[in-house]
Amino acid sequence: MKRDPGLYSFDLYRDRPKITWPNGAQIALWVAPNIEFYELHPPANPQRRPWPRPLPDIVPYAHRDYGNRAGLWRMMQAMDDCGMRGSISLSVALCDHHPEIIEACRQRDWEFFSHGIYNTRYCYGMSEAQERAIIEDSIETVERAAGARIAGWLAPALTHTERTMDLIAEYGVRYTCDLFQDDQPQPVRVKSGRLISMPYSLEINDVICYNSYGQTPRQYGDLIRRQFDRLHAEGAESGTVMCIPLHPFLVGQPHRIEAFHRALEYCCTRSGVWKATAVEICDHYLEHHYDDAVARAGGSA
Amino acid sequence: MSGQDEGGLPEEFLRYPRRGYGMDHDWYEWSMLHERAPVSWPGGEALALMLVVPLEWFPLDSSNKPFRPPGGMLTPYPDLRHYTSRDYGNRVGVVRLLDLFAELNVRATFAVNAEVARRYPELIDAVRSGRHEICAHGIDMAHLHSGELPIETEREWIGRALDMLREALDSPPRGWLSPGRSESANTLELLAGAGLEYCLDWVNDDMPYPLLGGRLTAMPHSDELSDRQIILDYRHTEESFVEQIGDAARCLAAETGRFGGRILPLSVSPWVSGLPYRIDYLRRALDGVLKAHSVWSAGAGEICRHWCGQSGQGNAS
Repeated sequence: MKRDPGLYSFDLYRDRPKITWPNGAQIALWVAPNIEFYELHPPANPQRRPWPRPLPDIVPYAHRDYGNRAGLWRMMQAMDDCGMRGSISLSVALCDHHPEIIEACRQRDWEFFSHGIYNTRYCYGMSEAQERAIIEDSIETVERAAGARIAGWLAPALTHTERTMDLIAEYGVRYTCDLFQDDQPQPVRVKSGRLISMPYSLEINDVICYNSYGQTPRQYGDLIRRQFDRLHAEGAESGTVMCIPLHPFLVGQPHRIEAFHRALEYCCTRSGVWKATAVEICDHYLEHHYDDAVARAGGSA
Repeated sequence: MSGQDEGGLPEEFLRYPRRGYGMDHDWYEWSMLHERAPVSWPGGEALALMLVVPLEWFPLDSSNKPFRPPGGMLTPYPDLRHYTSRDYGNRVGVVRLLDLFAELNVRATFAVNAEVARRYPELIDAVRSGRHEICAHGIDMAHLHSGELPIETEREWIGRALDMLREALDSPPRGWLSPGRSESANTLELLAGAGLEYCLDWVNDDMPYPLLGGRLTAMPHSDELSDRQIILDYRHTEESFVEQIGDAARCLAAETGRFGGRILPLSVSPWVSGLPYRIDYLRRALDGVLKAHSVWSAGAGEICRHWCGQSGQGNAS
């Protein structure tokens, strides 16, 4: 095991080369709905139990199913209303289970990136061949169902191996949402290809805010505004990225959607905001800022 | 790299036998809420208010196996503080709820552990005299249905719970809520076989839907819109509880123009909302919903039958 993941260089958030976004925007805003499928009877990973109770553990299973049946549509309406496209963290097996959802997202020109096959299949303990298999499965499944190649990765249930970043980069994935060390993109050190860390967030992720921090819907709306205000202000110096990661089974509940809708509207109606998808931010950064960042880090990410 | 995982995970980990259209089980069909045909409530109301009140008995010697049910015993035996705090609900808190429901003229569904009916007949009389609906809620909170329960044992438990309740009610209950909402893979089949019409365990929808091809109906019973979840588990204030119920009602009512009648489920426990300092917040939550929207307050079985008749799905008629 390593003491340091060795994936990026240390770079204090001060006096960095200026990041610029299209049209002089200060902040690149993206929304990441996690559209997931959780299995009722997943095989047990040696390092993590999928459900707390003996199988079938129907309450948490059904809670997540709520997102696909009911919550997703409400979340989509709020995003449509704000002119905000989604960059979907997708359990790719959902292409097979619920193609209607994929179609609704395609109609909106939303982006798909991989969040593994199912969110009940963890990577801990996978061999290299197995990890390659889920990457190849992800690429092929999304290409078949959505007609586009995935550019990004968020490991299923945030489960990783030491080789995850090298492997996804080798397959041409350009950004990872798995690293939380910064509010700006940064090159990731990989054996081949070009990979960047895309600011995602656990801190304003609805699943953390609601299930771990126990916030109320209005507190959640307020913190989205505060996160935005600060990053928007700092972005006057050098462009920042704000991601709002969502789970339709949480944010799409009737008692929560309105608070989110108002907060998103707040963010989307300010000036200097680039309402983007993750791949748009990624490709802009790769084209304009990646090489400078590598040079600043001494020639390697 | 890491030597220990050279062999990787067992092969089954990369096999996906249920990866195909729809769900990964056969209990219900995949269906998106916003694509279904609208239903209308008897008086054209926007919302059907489905109040569910679990009446639970937590035996002092509960093993908490295979899991601790919400509200279950916590400290080493004898956990008098939790036993009596829950019993407070059945003695005192429930009276405050019943009085409030009478004052507001709302009808609730009381999900009753069979042991509660056997032990506290006066309580059942009080619920019945309030014209509330009563549904089955297993034997007690120590009889947990789960994947570890043999089918014959589970069949006997369900039969026993229904027999005990039938004796207390003079009529068979039409609905079921599992203790801790926990089911085995056989529970739904056993419930349908026992003649039950609806099940309150499922939290995946805002409207009813057919289980087992329509032999049983899942009534929408959010675990989020619950005093125990919001006030005890999330530790939100009573003010926030009122606000969240109001927000839920407004969201659902706003959808009715396009999608037809909606259901606002609300689960309240006598040992949570029946406290002296909380009961008035439940009044405010309910009163707010009743004043802001057109509401049909009905038992889960009534709503179920009406939905079955309107949608042409399900078993109840």
